Amino acid sequence: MTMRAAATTPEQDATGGHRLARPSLDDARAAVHSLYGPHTGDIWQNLLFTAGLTGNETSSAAMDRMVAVMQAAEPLVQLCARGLQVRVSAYRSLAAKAQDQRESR
Amino acid sequence: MHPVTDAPLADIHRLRVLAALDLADPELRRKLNVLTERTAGRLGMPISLVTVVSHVAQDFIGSYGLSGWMEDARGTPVEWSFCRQAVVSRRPYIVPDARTDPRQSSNPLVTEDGMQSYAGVPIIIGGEVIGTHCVLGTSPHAYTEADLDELARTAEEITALLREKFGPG
Repeated sequence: MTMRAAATTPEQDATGGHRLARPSLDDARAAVHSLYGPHTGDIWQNLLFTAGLTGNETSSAAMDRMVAVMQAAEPLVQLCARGLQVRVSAYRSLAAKAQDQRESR
Repeated sequence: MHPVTDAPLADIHRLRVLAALDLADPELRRKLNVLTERTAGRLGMPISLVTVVSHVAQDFIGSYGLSGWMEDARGTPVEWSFCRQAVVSRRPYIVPDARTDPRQSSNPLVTEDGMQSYAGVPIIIGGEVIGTHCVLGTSPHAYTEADLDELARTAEEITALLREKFGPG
């Protein structure tokens, strides 16, 4: 699978030297696709429907909603949600730290 | 973009074993934290972990010595995980000096967070490597056979705890 580890440029990266891209719905879909391959479409559409999303959203709130829905789904999808939650938490902690460092300069 | 291409990480049989484990149990985490503190003390290392590694992230289900964002997140993206090497190879993985290690020298845990050495052994449940028991150092470190033996003995205790909770596997 492909996870977006690096932002486009260091200047655009909110997490400083870690260069971790903000987890997105595309990452969530990629995590599910790794497990379900050609059957991903129906599963993903069900997850989007339950979350009340179209799949085109880019906000943190949409990602939070998707992770919450995945956490209540079947065990393999829950496993994806656990990993995505770690990535979201890591991104938020690193972005907050980088923001503090920028403001203290 | 950094593709995670290690096929064993996304192996469906391994991930089914991982998915069946309820690793949020506070009592299990407390016991694993005790074991990691003991390992850190016995090996004289600042950080010890029990990890589970999926195709998305590694999750710290037991830890000692963490601080900052890693303590908050209780894990890291899988592409930064030292432990994934032990999961993929099913063998102990040792990095005496991460700054000069070709695989790890550009890892943000090394360049940004100061991790400079690592030793980890696989934890096997149901025939699948679910993660590792490991130590990390903030300076280069030459790990010995005795260190690996200690990690392996404690990994057996961890396996026993997980089997006690989740069945023989």
